[in-house]
Amino acid sequence: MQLTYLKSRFLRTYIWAALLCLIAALGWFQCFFAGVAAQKELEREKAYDIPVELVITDLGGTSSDRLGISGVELWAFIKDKENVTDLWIIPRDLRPYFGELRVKTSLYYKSGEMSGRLIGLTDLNAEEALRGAEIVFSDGEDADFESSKSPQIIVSERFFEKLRDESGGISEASVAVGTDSGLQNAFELAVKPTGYYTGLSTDDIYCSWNLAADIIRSLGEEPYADSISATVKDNGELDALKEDLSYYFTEADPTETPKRNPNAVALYYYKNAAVIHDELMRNTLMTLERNIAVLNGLFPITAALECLVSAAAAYFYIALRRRDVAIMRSLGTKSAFVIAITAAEMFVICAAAFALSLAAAAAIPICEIKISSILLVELSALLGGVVSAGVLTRRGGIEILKEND
Amino acid sequence: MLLSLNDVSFSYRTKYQTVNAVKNVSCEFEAGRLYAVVGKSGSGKTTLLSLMAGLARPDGGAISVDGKDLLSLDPDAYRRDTVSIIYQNFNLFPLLTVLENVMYPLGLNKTPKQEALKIAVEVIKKVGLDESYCKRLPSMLSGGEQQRVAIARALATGAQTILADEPTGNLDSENTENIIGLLTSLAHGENRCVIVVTHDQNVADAADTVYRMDSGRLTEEAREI
Repeated sequence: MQLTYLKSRFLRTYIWAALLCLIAALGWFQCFFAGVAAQKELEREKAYDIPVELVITDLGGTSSDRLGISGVELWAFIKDKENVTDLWIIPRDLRPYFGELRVKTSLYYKSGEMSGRLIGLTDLNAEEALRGAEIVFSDGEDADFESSKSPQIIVSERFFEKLRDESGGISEASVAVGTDSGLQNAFELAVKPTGYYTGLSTDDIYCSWNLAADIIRSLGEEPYADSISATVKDNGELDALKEDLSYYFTEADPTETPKRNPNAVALYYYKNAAVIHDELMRNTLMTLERNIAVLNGLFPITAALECLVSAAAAYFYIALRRRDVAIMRSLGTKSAFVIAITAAEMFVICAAAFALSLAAAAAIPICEIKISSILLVELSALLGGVVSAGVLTRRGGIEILKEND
Repeated sequence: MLLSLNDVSFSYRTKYQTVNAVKNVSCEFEAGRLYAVVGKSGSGKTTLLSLMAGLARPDGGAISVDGKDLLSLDPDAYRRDTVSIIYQNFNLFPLLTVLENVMYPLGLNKTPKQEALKIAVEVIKKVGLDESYCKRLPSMLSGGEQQRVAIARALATGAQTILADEPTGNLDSENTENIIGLLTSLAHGENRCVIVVTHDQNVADAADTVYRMDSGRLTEEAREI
């Protein structure tokens, strides 16, 4: 008969549906909350992918095209391209830290009426000016600029056309190359361009870093770099990179005071500074860390509040039938039976709410399914309902049926 | 003797004071008689009824049911099988139909469903309602009709003692008369012990025995027929 009562409650009132939706919503909200926190964690992981740029500057902190970097500092960047075993200090290889390395050196050239700079690059992107220019390679020569086995030499379109013979082929040009603009100590070199660039007003010649380094050595000098910049490959290794950088570079110093390198075995001063531009990554990480800390702090509070709301809602849902329970008790229904049947009813509602929470959490991508959180909300509701039934079935519960005295 | 009270006392605490609702009451109730307990509001009539219904435990004295101490009985079983209670405001389950309300106590004492259905229809007819009322909810009935359903529910289990708390308090004179007739026939026709707490002089006039409560004491046995 108690089941008839429950059946009629379910069929003739819909307040149970409201309770079910509320408990389900509370369970789902925990999943949503956990999902938002997980999303922030993911964003924090992704924040490590924000490009971090390393730029070598002078000690005063100004980036320059004439840094004159040479020796161990330079070899640390390009050691895999050079034989450096005979250097007086074993350099730390910085190249593994970088996804994209941009080293540039420049000399001067003259070839007939054409003159300008001869620029050696580890990558075409090392030259800012070339980024906006169109580069046209001769057939079969559009291989990677740096890794190509044949020397890649790119000239201006004007220079390129001057070298075109009657059959349409490109002939070699003899150029004088030197480290000073006056070409007082010049080296004669035969070059055959593999392509040309358009859109620039200069007649500069671009070649691979290796070729430029060989020319400088032929001129009796040690190769040097005008500028160095790079994109860090794995930001998780920033600390290790900073440590390795400290062997060759100091931080930018506005006073431009030379500093002694404590890592050097002999008296040696820093000549250049290394600046790591990780501000965006650090700011993003800091913001995300703050957000995650707030979310993590709020999570247990919201969980507790939700359990409380869930328990209170279930308590009042059952308390609404105070008079009905009193009538049942006055007719001889055992209190244990009322509590048991209430627990069964709450179990059914909570099970349905659990399924609904799970379905909603699975359907909404941002949510992270947290079974334990949902269960906690459901258990709170179950407990709230059972406690309410316990209160209603106390001896005094029947008192409400007394109207007179 | 079906029900006897021997020197029964009961008090309860309110926020400000202790109320001695029932003071050293002794009386006896037999089957086949209609009893009326009359008295002013607050005199302890309903509390006395609650004690007899097993809804409260006396502080002193003893209540005997068929010679057994009420406190030694299972209170749930006592309310389920031995007494039935009728209230002024009917106290029907609002979401159960008339038939379901009447069948409820039969379900509690494990009467098979078909038999319970038969008994329920029978008692519904006995209180003057036809079968068309069976499917109705209490909210669709008048006060008199609801009280008839409450009486039918009280009758369904065949409880020997029927306790009624102001059963005519919410009814008009015509319905009051009908309910008095019903209660009288239960006592005299079905040999049940019917104890009615009432303000209603008509009920008191119809009773075989009238007890008067005054400040918790059963001061006067007003009339014996």
